[in-house]
Amino acid sequence: MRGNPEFIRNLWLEFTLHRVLVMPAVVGILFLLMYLVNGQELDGATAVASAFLFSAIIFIWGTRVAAESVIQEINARTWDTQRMSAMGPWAMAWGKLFGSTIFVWYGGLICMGLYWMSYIDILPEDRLAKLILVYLLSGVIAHATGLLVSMQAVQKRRDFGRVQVVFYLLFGFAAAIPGLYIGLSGWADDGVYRVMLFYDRVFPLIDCVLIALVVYSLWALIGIWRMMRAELQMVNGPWVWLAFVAFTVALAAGIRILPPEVGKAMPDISSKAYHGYAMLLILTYVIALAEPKGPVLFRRLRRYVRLHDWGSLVNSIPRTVPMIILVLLASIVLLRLSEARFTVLEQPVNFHLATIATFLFVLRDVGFIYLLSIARYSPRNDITAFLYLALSYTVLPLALIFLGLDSLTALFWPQWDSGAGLTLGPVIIEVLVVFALMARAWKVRVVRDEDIV
Amino acid sequence: MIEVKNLIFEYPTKRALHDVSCIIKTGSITALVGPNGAGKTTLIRCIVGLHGPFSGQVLFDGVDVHEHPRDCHRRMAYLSDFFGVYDQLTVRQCLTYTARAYGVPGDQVRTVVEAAAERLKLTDRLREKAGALSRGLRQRLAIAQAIVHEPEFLVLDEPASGLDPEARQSLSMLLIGLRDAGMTLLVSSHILAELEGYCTDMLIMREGRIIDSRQLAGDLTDARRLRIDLASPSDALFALLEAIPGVAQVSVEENVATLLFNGDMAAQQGLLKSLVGAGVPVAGLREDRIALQDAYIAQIHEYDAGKTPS
Repeated sequence: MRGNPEFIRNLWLEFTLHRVLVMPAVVGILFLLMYLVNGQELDGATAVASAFLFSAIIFIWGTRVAAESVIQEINARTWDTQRMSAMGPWAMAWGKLFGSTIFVWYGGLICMGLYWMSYIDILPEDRLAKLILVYLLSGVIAHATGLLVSMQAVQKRRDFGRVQVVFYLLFGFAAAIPGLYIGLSGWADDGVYRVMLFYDRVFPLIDCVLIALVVYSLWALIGIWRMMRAELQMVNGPWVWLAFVAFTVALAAGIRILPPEVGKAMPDISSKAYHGYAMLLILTYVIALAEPKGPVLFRRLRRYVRLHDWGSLVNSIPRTVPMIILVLLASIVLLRLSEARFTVLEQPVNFHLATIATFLFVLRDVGFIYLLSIARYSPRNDITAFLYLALSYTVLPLALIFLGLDSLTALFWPQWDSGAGLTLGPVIIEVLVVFALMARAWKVRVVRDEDIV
Repeated sequence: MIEVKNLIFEYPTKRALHDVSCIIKTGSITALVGPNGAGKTTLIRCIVGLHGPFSGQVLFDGVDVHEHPRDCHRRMAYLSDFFGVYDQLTVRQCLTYTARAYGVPGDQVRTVVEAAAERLKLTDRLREKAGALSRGLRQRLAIAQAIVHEPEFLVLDEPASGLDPEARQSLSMLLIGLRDAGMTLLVSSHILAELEGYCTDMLIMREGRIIDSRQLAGDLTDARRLRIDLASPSDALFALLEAIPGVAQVSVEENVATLLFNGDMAAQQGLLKSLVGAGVPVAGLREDRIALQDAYIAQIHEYDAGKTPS
């Protein structure tokens, strides 16, 4: 750590004598107040107060600080100095993640010390240690996600205000919630470990959560490192993203999420494959919305094709392309694993048609996201696409249902038990329309502009 | 030497650089001039590896800046027109951070920090917070940060904007000093008269293209452009000059002659002696720096005229 200039700079900024004294004083006074209100007892109430203070400091303040760490450099016009330095992307990644949050960790650790003091005579030590680890690792996840999301945004825009920072803060906060929620409920009321099924084997829930938190903290740090590389004009191939996808899909496939009665109703489908497929769809939407794209990128790809520069093409092609191919392959696998029709919770399901329709809807949506980014230049294209898609999956079909026009929901949702015409017809037309519009925009904004610019 | 080869850069809505090629010679101070929107800043940011070009290359001593950005960044520095400094840090901390960030070994950091502060006359400000400095002092701090690791190539985008005349003068002296210390400089500015004081070469940009590239002073090679003022016109002058060894590109118009002279000061004295001896009414002899403003305006007009359909 001594050798990381970015970490040291943050130490200089964050650890002034005044701040070092004020943090324990403020936390101590608040804790003392709770202790006095609690009848001078150290118990669950003071522990909850410590955890609350920790959450305020780490999850709200810390995530904001982490999300702002690069944005502040851009706004203060010091980012170019860092980009021009000789610091490597890895040093910058962890120097920023842990350096910018070093002071909030100082406060957070004081809170966890008070949490330990409150519970040490009440809970077994190993349980208490695991609870504290859940808090600490959830904090790392929140900070890393906040920074990661803000850096992803930096790839698309260079002007940031408070609204954007709050947005990235919420992402970081949201990323911490599952681990925090599941981790803190790792024990039943009688103190017995809750368990979970992972690839049909039983594991203590808390241990799985802790491992997942460590692994995803590392993935988030790797993501920040990749973003730093992009900022330093280094080429990022698709392989790290695909490795993350493979890991996450494999993890999702192993976890039993569906209720047992649903699982029983689908004897011929591997519920693991279904879970993995669902995660693959989520990640496809995430990357399609998140990654930078636009006419300049597509012109560059065309150039690589013309030059037969396949290496550059593979490195530069949007990650969405291999994701669509993976979704297609996964859809084929699902079709082969499953019966064409079965009943789930007394509802008949035409699973084959629904799977094909699902793939077509993904194709439509990704096409729509790319259509917007090609047809017009705006840093808000992706958020616009997200809002349109969110409306098309919620408000519009629900309105049709309320109006009694259920069959028209085929325009917006994959149908579970309709004929091929209604299940596939509307979405095929939508895909054709979207891709026709995209082809037209491509001709105007990519091909023709390339000739005239 | 920095070699820019067929650089094309595109923003989403326009092409900012059109197949730009140029060379920045080692040891030169090259002025990059052009109207607003000509693409100067974009070119600079491509040269230093902050923007990835659509196509083309920037070679820094043969190393591709965009393929090996970190290797090149150790040896170059860039100061943006809208620069920032860490307001909450002291001047010493700012310089120490930058030195460490540029990979200066730990045992040398203190030395290079104090050397940079000395060079920029910031030694007595080392304990002050950067946020408390005046605009001129912040500029000096920013330049000190840029040169703290003794880069071989320094790029300054509009370095004189916002500075008072005295600070500009001291900036000019500093840049000449850096050049004399062995650095190569690329300076973009709108203030042509000021660039004239220290630049050795000029690149003129317009509409994303380099429309002219020329040497302004002969101090990089042995050849220097000389101007001879005459008391009255001399018919024999042209032939006399052409016959003198080391003289080239002779031009005689009325009472003024210009030539490119390849020789040291003793040879220059010999040239003067031979002209006076031949009865040429020499009223003065001096090194002729091409008027930057005139050259710039002429090139811009020529470019615009060339674009206008006849």
